Amino acid sequence: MLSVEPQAPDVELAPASESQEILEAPKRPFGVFFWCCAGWLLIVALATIFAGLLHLNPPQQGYGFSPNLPVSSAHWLGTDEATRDVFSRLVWGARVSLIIGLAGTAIGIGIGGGLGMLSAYVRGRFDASLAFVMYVLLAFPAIIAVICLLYFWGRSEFHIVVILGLFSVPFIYRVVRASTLACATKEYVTAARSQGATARRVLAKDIFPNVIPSLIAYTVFTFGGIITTEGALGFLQLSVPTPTPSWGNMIGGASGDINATLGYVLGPSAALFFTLIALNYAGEQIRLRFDTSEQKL
Amino acid sequence: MTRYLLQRVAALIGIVFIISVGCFYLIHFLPGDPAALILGPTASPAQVHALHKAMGLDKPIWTQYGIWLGHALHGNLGLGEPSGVAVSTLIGGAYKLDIELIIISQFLAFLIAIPLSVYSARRPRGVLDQASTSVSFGLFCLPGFIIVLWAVNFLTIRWPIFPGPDTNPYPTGGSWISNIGNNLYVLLLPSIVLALGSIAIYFRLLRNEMVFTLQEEFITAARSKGLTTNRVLWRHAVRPSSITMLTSAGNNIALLITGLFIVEVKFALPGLGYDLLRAIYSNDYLTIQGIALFSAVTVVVVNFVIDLVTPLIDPRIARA
Repeated sequence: MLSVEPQAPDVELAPASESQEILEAPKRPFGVFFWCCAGWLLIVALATIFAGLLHLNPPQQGYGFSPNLPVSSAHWLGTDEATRDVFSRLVWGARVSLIIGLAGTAIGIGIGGGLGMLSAYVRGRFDASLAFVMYVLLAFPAIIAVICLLYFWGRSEFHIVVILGLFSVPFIYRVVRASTLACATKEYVTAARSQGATARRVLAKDIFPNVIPSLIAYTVFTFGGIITTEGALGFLQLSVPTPTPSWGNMIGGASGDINATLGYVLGPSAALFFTLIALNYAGEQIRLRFDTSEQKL
Repeated sequence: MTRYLLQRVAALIGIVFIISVGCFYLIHFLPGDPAALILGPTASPAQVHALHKAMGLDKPIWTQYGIWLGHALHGNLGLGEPSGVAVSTLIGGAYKLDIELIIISQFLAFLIAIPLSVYSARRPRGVLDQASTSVSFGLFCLPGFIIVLWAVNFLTIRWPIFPGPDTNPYPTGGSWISNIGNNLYVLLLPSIVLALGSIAIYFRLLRNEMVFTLQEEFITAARSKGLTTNRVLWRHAVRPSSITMLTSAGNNIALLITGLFIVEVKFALPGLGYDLLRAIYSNDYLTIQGIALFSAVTVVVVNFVIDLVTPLIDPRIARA
């Protein structure tokens, strides 16, 4: 599921050494821990998609439960200060965190990836000015901007997605630009251009397949980064408004409640922690697997 | 070097300009007329109109920006809403705590990360290396707000080892010196929380650089002279390996600020992050604007200074 083979682009055009380099790179086997991570992500994804079918306790308040109940068979992670079932809020909260993460990543990848490829392919003044803009965005302390923008613009899920997505653009732009630069000077690109291929064709057919490996790894990292930032915002009650559960605002809720039970303190935070470990580890393994320069060392 | 310097200065001016426009324009994201917002729902249209004119909101947007920038450059960022305290006074009182937290936490982070990475790099893939690499990877993935939750819940509520989140780090009465012990005691747990994230980053960078450096020929030469392992590690290997870590320490300040905000809010420490969040919860938008401007410009200037200093440590950077 997570491994996408880099396709040797236009094999007839590529010189023998190029395609061999790709084929001969020794494949690092993904270890047990990688598959544990993938399994955890799969469980989270399935729970998010099928949350409605799980016959959970209702996540809202007002069902006659007591506040701050300990872990039991009726409430797997106990209840919180407002008599809500922590486990079912955890499952429903994953939906908010993951949807914001996915949508934000899609924006970041779409804009950052597109601009990065274009910038490295066109070069010249366009590249220089775009690189400057990205440098500005990177130097900008994102959290301050995000907090202020959300305050002045309103804290809807849509705004959060747009803002977090835009602030992930420069990171993806840098990576994609670098890997595009690396293959834009290869012989097969020159060959395609000399045959009269349009820029769009060269970008789509010759360059994009070579950018995919690093793009996948950084997609995973960006996803983790956006979930973390959303969590921090939720923790400060600055993400989606409170009755809707998200992992961040549950963790914030637990930290504001001195009677919080162990299930409430550890449940949401461990779920987020495991997800971030899984994402970062899987991303790192994917990056190492396709990063030929590091394998040669 | 001159070219490098010019590039950095141009970038600095550009960024500060964009930040100032951004902070100025933030207010225009608010729904409705700022004058009406300030006066509240009970004001008459005539009052709103008068304040609208008095605030210069009828002028063209660039004129407004010019006026605002002129005030900001003179340190006039407006008055905070419920208290009526000048925003610049508020910032002047708050930033010291942030600096104190940053210094203590970075000191702790270097104190732990440097020896750990030096001894881990001595035997790559050894027991210590594997253990500390795994732990630092875990820390790297652990967001600051989870550490805050666990630290507050376990170390101040369940097992009250550290003072609770509401203890004032600046108790009134007594001189600063006589309070310093108490001050450090209150700031210790927040600083540890902040340090953990930095340790993960510094460890990764220094350990990897050390592993490469220890394979260099001058290390073999130093060893063959009969120097002790400790002397080789500390006197010969650490210095050339530490450049990446030192430059990242500067970039790390942006990450630290995220952590600072969270730590200050949850430990009720009166720094800039605490004031920013308090201003957000109480709709005090001039304070929000002022703190955003101040902290964004500070971060950018710090990064600028680090960009200037790094070529002094490693001259190759300016030539690239």
